Amino acid sequence: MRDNGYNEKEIAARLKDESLRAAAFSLIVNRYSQQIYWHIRRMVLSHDDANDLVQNTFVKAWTNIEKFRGESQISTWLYRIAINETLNFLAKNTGNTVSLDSPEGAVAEMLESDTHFNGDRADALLQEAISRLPDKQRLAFNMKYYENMKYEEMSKILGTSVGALKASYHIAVKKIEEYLSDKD
Amino acid sequence: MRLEDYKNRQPFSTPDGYFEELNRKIIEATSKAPATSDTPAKKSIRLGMYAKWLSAAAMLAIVCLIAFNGIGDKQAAGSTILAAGTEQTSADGTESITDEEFMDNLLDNYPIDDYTFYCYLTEYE
Repeated sequence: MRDNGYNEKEIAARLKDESLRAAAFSLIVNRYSQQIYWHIRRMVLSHDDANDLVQNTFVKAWTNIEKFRGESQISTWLYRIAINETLNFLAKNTGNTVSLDSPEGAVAEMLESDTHFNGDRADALLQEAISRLPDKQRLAFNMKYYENMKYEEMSKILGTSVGALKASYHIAVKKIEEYLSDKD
Repeated sequence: MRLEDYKNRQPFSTPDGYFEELNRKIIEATSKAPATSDTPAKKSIRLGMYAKWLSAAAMLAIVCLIAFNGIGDKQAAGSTILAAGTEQTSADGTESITDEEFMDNLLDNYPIDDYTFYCYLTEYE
């Protein structure tokens, strides 16, 4: 994939050169900010929280950019930071976010009153079903279902075997379908 | 409601012009921040020295936790992980955990490899 004339390897090489680093990082921001934002948004659901977390992700990537050795893809590096940021956020905000223990329908109601949610009741119920999954199952589900990511890539990002991810996705789908069928 | 029908729907939205503004904010924020971590190097190396042992201890604790939760009974019954949703009953007649609970437990307690990621961030080998 090329971006403004540079492919991933060229951007990674430019990151190592101090005089070109800032410009190379701008290319990374322009290329990946939307993808990372949507990944985070599907986990935290709120636009405001996703907005904070995506900015933290890129600032953290920048402040650690010298540690990026180009052995993995830039997107893998960004995803790992974003996921760590998101899981830390969710862990710290268990009282404020909806979880497995939340009352039935809490997520759907919260979404339906959110000005940045345009879906109908069925969309809200789907998000409710997803939000009730354990965090890592949710990650696996979102990456496969919405982002159509390959299991091999997911495995590099999540540090989990392909087999475990396939099982995780399969179970997540089953749980969501069961939850939705109960609502029909 | 079929799950596949919702795959390409995008129920979430953002304010108008959000991504242009987001990119501008990120680039502005990073232009003010140094491109180096301010994590004290000495502290990182000290943690790194013990991280392998801590990881091993954590894994041992997870194995013990899983064993005490009755996973051993389930394995003895010869069931497979992927046969999701089936309720297992062990030989002594006591109710064991479901395959889904087993996977949840396993996936939730098996951490994202933070040690590798930590090494990655700190260049600690």
